[in-house]
Amino acid sequence: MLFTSSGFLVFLAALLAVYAITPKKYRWFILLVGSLTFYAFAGPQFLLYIGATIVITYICTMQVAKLRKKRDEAIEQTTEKQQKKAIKERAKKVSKRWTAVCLVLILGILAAVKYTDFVLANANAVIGVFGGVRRFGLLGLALPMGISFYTFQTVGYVIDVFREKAEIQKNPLKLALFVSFFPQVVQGPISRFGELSKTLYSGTRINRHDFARGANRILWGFFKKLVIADRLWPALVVLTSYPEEFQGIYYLLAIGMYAVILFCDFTGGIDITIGVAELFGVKLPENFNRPFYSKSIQEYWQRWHMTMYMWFRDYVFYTVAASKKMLRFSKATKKIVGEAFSKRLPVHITLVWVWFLTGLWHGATWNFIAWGLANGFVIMASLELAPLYNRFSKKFPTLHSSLPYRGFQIFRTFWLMNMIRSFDIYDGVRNTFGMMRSVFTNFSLSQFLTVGITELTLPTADYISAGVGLMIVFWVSWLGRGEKDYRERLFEFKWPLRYLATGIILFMTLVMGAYGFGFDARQFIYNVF
Amino acid sequence: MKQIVIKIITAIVAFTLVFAALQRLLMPKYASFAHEGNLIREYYSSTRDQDVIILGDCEVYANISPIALWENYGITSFLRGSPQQLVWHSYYLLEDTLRHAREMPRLVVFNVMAMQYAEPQYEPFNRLTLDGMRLSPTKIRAVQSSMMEDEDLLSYIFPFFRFKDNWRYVSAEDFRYFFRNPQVSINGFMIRSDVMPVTFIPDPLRRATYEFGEKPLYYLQRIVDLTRQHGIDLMLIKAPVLFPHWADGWNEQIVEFAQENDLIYINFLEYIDEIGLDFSMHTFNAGLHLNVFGAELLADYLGKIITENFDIPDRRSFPETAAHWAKLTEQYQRLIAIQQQEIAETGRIQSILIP
Repeated sequence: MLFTSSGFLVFLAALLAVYAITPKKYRWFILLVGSLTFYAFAGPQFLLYIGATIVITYICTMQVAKLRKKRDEAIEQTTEKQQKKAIKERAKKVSKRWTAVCLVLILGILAAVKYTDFVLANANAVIGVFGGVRRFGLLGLALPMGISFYTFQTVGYVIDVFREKAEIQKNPLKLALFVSFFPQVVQGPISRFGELSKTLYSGTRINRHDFARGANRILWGFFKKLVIADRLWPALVVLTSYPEEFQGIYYLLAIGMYAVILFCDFTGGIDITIGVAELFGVKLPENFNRPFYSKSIQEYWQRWHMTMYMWFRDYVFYTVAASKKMLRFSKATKKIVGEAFSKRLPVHITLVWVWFLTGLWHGATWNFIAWGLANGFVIMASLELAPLYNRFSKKFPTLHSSLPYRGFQIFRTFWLMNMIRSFDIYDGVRNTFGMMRSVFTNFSLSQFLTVGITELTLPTADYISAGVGLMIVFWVSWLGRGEKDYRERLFEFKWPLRYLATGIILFMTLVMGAYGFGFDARQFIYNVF
Repeated sequence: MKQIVIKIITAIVAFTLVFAALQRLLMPKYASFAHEGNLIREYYSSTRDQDVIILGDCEVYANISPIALWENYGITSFLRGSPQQLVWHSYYLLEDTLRHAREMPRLVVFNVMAMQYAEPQYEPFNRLTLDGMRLSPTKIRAVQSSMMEDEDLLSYIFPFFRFKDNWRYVSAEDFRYFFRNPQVSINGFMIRSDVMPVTFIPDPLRRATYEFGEKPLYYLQRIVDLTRQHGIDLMLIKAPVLFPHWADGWNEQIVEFAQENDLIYINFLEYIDEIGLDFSMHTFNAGLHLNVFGAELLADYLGKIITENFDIPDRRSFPETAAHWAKLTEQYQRLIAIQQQEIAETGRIQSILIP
């Protein structure tokens, strides 16, 4: 069920009505029923996968809970420090085993459905290279909706339980709600149990303030998705489907357009997610912080898909970079690469590993792996060049902090990120590099000056409406700078002005939105990850 | 609390007004293209007291002149026809007509050409027929029976959702006809007085079977039942146009159906000479439709059959009715005169709208 479909709006209205009349104590259960119903719309068979993840997680974390209970009882009964320490270590060891079993199983489900065909196809290619004839048959498994998101969220919970940073949820149905909460199961954000559980189970009464805020956020998401992203999408499809015809300047146009589309699609989806959750009084974490104002790729990733970035940072990067093995490796390489570099080596190796995994998480293709590694290498290069930048900024302090230089940094980061993102939209790694090269070898300026964008199937009016929409997005983004989000600023206006602004956005979405007859309703881009 | 209620009411009223205005602005006015889109809605602005209702597709609204029926026999009639009007469209339009009629009609004439279609064919034709209907349970049922795969009921209740993308093409015409669409017919009849003679007749399309589908037969039976229920006579006709081809297999089934249901069925294709039709001068698009002069001949012939077989009063002596029809006749003749002048000056007609 698409967020932007009329069916979803009917479902949401019905769920809100049932939620409102249910006693506070049982409201979380209504959310669970709603979430599972929503999930079943994607295909009832997929409930098996998410169900398996919930059951495995519940069993393993309950084992950890039992161990902790026994541990605490044993510690209470002893006064010896050494004995207490031994009990703790034994309990930690066993709970580590249960955590590992849990992670292997739930990540195994993700790996099986998402990566089996990728592995088999590559194995077939290798067999082919060596002249082999036999081939593995591909399984063609359908990807359950949001599996990458709910698996990562569950992994975070299991690790937090192991690290004793999150309480263990002993009610299996409440755990099921945490894993399957319907607004966020489609495309995140990836929440932490400790934060989400504060409002998820509280059964907050629907109130006017939350409702107004939530509805406003949903409308804003619809606006970005339908008026800009889906409106421009057909032009991008033409640009990327015929790479031999649209090179050079058209490649730049495609990657620039993709940046706009992806931003409006993903942030629009997250706006709807956060807004829907707010209707029920549930607070979800923000996933974006005006990423296109970033001055470096590293900063960009702290502002774009923030919950994923923080997930990799907390559960992979820190775990690997600060592991004993990595520290031993660093020491061992001191003599070969020098002391300074050997200290940075664990960071670099972990970065490559993290970005390889990030690419793989986004999709089981070499393009995504190349995309991930490209991000990793750019960040590594900027870390290595940091001393140089520092010297430059010390030498020219006025220039470094000047507005034009900051503008240059933003411009540079935007286009560098666009180049990296071109792995998302072109088929094959080689083809993508070919398109990058075309900027220097076949710029196609004369084609652009004569034909322009007329071959991209979109009427001029669509570019105008998307352009106006984009200007509004920038204005709202500017409005939302600083501590307050744009809604708080909006709610500071007098009510006629506030209603007028909301009305304009509502009617622009209704009139200029790409939906209904003649449009193929398009799922959110991040839904397939 | 009071202030909140005021705010909510203000917001709802403002939303409704803007939405309604936008819907009206963006809906096609059918003033410079696809004029047929106005035919169905024009019934509601008529007197709705006609004795004869003629149902069918373009073989109705282009081929039978209600003015000739009036002038020659004093028969008051209205054509409820639209492009590719399917049998179930006709059934629900009949239901709609009976719901809105000030006086019950005495006779329904149904043109059977659409019997060949077992399923909806093309979304725009659904629109040309259904968008003109007033919102009612009948309309909802008509839409439900007609929708194609990619259509939805909501966009028929609120056509805004179908035509919202017309914002790209809003023109002066949309503002000119904002409050009322232009009139394109005289009691459902579209006037074309130009001539395009028949030069050849395309070969008929070969089909695997000439059996009517279940759906059109079901709705034809419902037309029979509905007219009987209201004590209205029913007559079946096939208009005398040369193509699309009317297959013998279809004709035989209609003959059989008419016999079984004790109905009169006239296939006018068998009476072309008797009617006096000459396809070198009585068609405006090479035999597909009759022009106004051919439509007058056919109406005269049909009127004769109606007066001989059904109890339809001659209302020419009813002063109020006569005055109303005199006005319609005047409009009818004025448009023919305008079109004739245009043909004389430019070789083709430009005016379709009723002056």
